[in-house]
Amino acid sequence: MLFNSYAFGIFFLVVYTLYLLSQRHYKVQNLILLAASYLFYGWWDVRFLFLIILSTVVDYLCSLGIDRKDIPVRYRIAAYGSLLAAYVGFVLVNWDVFLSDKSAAVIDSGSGLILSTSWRGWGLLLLAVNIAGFEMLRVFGRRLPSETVRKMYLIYSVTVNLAILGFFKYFNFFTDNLRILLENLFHYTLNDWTVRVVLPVGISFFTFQTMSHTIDVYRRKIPASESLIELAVYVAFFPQLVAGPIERGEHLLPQFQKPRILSREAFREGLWLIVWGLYKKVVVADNLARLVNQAFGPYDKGQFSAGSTDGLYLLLAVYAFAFQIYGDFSGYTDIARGTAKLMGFDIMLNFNLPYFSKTPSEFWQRWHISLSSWLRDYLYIPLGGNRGGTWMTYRNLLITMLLGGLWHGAAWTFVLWGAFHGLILVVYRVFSVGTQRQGFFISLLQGLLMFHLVCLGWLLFRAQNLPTVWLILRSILSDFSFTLQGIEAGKELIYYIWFLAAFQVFQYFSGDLWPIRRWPWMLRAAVWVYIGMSLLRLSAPGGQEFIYFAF
Amino acid sequence: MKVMRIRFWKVLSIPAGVLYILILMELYLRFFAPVAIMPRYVCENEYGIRGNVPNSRYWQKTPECRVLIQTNSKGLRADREIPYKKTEGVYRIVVLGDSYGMGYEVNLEDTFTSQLAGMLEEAGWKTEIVNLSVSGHGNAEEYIMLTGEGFKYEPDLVLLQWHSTDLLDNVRSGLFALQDGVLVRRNQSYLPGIAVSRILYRIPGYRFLSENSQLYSFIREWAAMKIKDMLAFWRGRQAVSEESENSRSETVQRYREELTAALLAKMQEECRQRNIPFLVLDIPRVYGRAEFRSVFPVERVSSLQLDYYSPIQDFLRYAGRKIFTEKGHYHLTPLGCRIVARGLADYILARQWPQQRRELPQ
Repeated sequence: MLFNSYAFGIFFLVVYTLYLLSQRHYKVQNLILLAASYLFYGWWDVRFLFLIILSTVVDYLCSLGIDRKDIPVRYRIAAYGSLLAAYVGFVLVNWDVFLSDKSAAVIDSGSGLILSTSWRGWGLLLLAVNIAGFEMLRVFGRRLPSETVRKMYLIYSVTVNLAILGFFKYFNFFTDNLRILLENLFHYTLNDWTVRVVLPVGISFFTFQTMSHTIDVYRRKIPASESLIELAVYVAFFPQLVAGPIERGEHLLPQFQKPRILSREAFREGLWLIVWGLYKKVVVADNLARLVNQAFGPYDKGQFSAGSTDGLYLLLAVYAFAFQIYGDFSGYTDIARGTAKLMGFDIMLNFNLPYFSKTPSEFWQRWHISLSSWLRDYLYIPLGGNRGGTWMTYRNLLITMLLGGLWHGAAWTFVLWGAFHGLILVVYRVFSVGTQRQGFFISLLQGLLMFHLVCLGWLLFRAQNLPTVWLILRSILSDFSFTLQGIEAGKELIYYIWFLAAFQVFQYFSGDLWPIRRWPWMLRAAVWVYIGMSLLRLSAPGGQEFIYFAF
Repeated sequence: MKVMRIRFWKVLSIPAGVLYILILMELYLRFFAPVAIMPRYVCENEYGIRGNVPNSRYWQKTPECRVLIQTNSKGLRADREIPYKKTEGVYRIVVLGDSYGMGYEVNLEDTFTSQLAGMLEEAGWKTEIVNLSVSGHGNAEEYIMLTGEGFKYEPDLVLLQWHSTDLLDNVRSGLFALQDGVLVRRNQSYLPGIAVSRILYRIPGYRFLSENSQLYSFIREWAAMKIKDMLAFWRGRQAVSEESENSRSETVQRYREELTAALLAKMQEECRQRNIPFLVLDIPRVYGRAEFRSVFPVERVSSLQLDYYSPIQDFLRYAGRKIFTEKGHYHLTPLGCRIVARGLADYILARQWPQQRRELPQ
C-alpha cells in the first residue's frame, strides 16, 4: 500500500474516522492504530507480521527484564500468547489467496540440503527457541547480580533483532560471496547448498527502532513499557513503519501513553507536509526516475557498450538521481510526518535541507537524521567516539559509515558508498575544512564541492555494479561536451526541480521549514495551487515504489 | 451598519477567492504545463451516433500547433460542399475514422487524406475525399456511417482508418455485440456526453471558455478519461459475463478483438457486395520517436484477407523525427501525414484500383 495510492487514501480515511470517533479513549485509539498498522504491513506480505511481532515481544520482555529483573507472569502470558497467536494467524494460516502477485516462498530452498524446511517450520523454531531461551534466561538470571542480568537481557534482545536482520537481509549476500570465494579459491561449487531468502519490507527500520528502545531502557533513559500494546504500536506505527524515520523510544513511546491533542495548527502542518511530500515523490522523484533509468538502464543490465558515453548527459543523470532519491525519501518522510501530525503525533525530522551542507558531518546532520543519529548514539559512541584519540576517531568514523552503508543494502556498492562517506568525513576532519565561519562565496563553493562529493557517493549508491561507476566517471571526465541529449536532459531536470530548489533556498535563508504559514494568503494560495496542479498535471504515470522500501 | 459592511465583504471574499484560485490554475497551465485546447464540436446525427456539428469553425491550440477545423453543412471536414452524386471521371475515396482520420492537429491541406488526394492526382487520377471521420468514433460507428451515409457518396474506395482505441471503443459504445459469434445490434444510439454538452453550450461564455481556457480543457479531458474508463470497465464486464454463459474462458481482450474483427468483416462484406475495394489503414501506438507498435488483431482477421496497410516500416525510416505530436494529443504531424499518404498512394496505385474502377461498366 503506497502512500501515493488510492488504496492508502481510502485506508487512511477509514482509520482516521475511527481514530477521531474514539478521541476520548486513547487506549482504544492505540488498538485502532495497531490493527491499522498490521493491516498496512500485511498488505505487502502478511507472513512477515510474525517477524514484527516476534521482534516486539522479545523487546518487550527484555526491556521489562532490564528494568525490573523479574517479570510478572501476566506479562509473560500476554507476550507468549501474542507470539503464539501471531504464529497461528500469520504463519500457519494459508494466506496464498491474498498473495497472488508475491507468492514467492519466504525461504526458497530449491533443492537445498540445508535450511530446507518451510516457513512454517522456521516460524515454529523461532517461536520455540525464543520462548525457551527467554525462560532459561529468566530462571538463570535470578541467581545473578542485577547488572549482569540487565546486560544479558540487552544482549539477548540485540542478538535476536540482529539475527532477524542479518538472516533476512544479508543471507543471500553472504552465500553469494561465499560461493564466489569457494569457487575461486577451491573450485568448489556451492550452488546446491544455497537458499534464497525474501527481503521483508522495512526490516531495517523496525529492527533498529525496537533495538533503540531496549538500549534506551538499558541506559536508564526511559522506563520499560509495561503495556505490550503500546510497545507494539510504537514498533509498528504505520506512517513510519516501512521507511522510517527510525524513532526513538524516548520520543515516540510516551506519545502512545497519553491522550493526543489535536490542534488546528498541527492539522494544517500535517496537511502541508502530506501535500509537499507527495509533490516531492510523484512530481520530482518519479519523473526524474525516467531520466535516471534511461541513462543507467543499459549499465544496470550489464550492457556496457550500449550505455551512453555522453559526459554531460551522464553527469545530469547523476544530478537527477541526487534529486530523485532526495524527493523519494524525504517525500515519504514528509507524508509520514504529516499523517502522524493529523493524528496528533510528532515524528522526528529526518531531512533538513541536506544539499545545503558544506561538510560531510553537516550532511549527515541533515540527511536521514534518524539513521545517522542512531548510528552515532548506538554505534559510534559505544565504539569510543572521539574519546580515544585521533586515530581511534578516524577508525570509529570509518566503521560507523561502513556499517551504515551496509545497512542500506546487501551489496558491495553500498559498502563502498559507506566507505566513501567515512573517508570524506575523515579527510574533512584531517584538514579541518568547514570548521570556521566563512563568507558567502566561500560557503557557496564549499556547498558546491560538498554537493558534488555527495553526487559521487550517489553514483556508487545507484550503480548496480562496479564497472558502471568506472565507465560513467570516465565518460563524465573525458567525454564532456554540450550535446543535444545532454541539453534535453538538462531541460527536463530543471523543469522538475526548479520549484523544489527555489523553495528550499527560501527555507534555508528564512531558517523555517514551513515558511508559507506566515505568508499572506494570496501568496499561500499560489503555492498551494502550484503544488496541487503539479500533482494533477505532472504526476508520473504508473506510481513507483519508494526507493527506501528496499532497505 | 459597520457589521453589515463587514459581513458583505466577508461574503464577497468567497467568490473572489474562488475566482482568484481559478485564475491561478489557468495561469499555472499556461506558464508551467500547457495543455492542448482541443474543442470538439459533435452532436447527434440522424443515425443515433455522434457526428461533427455542421458548418462549424474552430481552432485547436496546442504548444506545437494552431489549427483551424472547419466542417461543411454535412459535418464533413472540408472547405466546400460535397454532393452525394459523384462527378464524372473523379476517383472518390470515402474515409472512415476517428480524430486521426479527421486530421486533428494538422491543417486541412496537411491531413493525410488531402495529401493522398494530391499524390493520386500527380499520378493522373483526379481524386476527391469524402471524410466521414468523427473524433471518438470506433468501428461500430464507422460501420453505421458507412451504410447510412458513406455509400450514398458512390465511393470508388472505402478507406478505414483504424487505431488501437477502436478495440475499446467498440465494446464501450454497446452498439453491437457478439451473440454466439454472430454480430447483432444491441443499442440504437450511443451519444456519450452529448446531452451534457448541449446544456453546457447554452451557458453564455461557455463556448469561449472551451475554445480558450486551458483549465477547462484540462478538467474536461481528465473527467472524460475517468468516465470512459468506468464505462469501458462496466460494458466490458457486461459483455464478457454474457459471453461467459457460452464459454467461460473468454477474456475481455479476446472479446474486444472478436467484436472488432466481426465489425471489419461486416464492412468488408458491404463493400464487396458493391464491388468497392475496402482498405484498412492501421495507425500504430507511439512510444517515443523510434518505437511504434500495432495492436491490430491480425490473427483474428486473417481469414478476411483484408487490404491492410500499416505505416510502421515507413515510420521507422524517419525514426528520430517528429511523426506524432508530442505536446498535444499525439496525432500525426504533417510529416506523419505525408508518410501515411505516400504509403497509401503506393498501395492504391500498385493494385491499380483507380484504373479498375474506370474500366468497370457503368
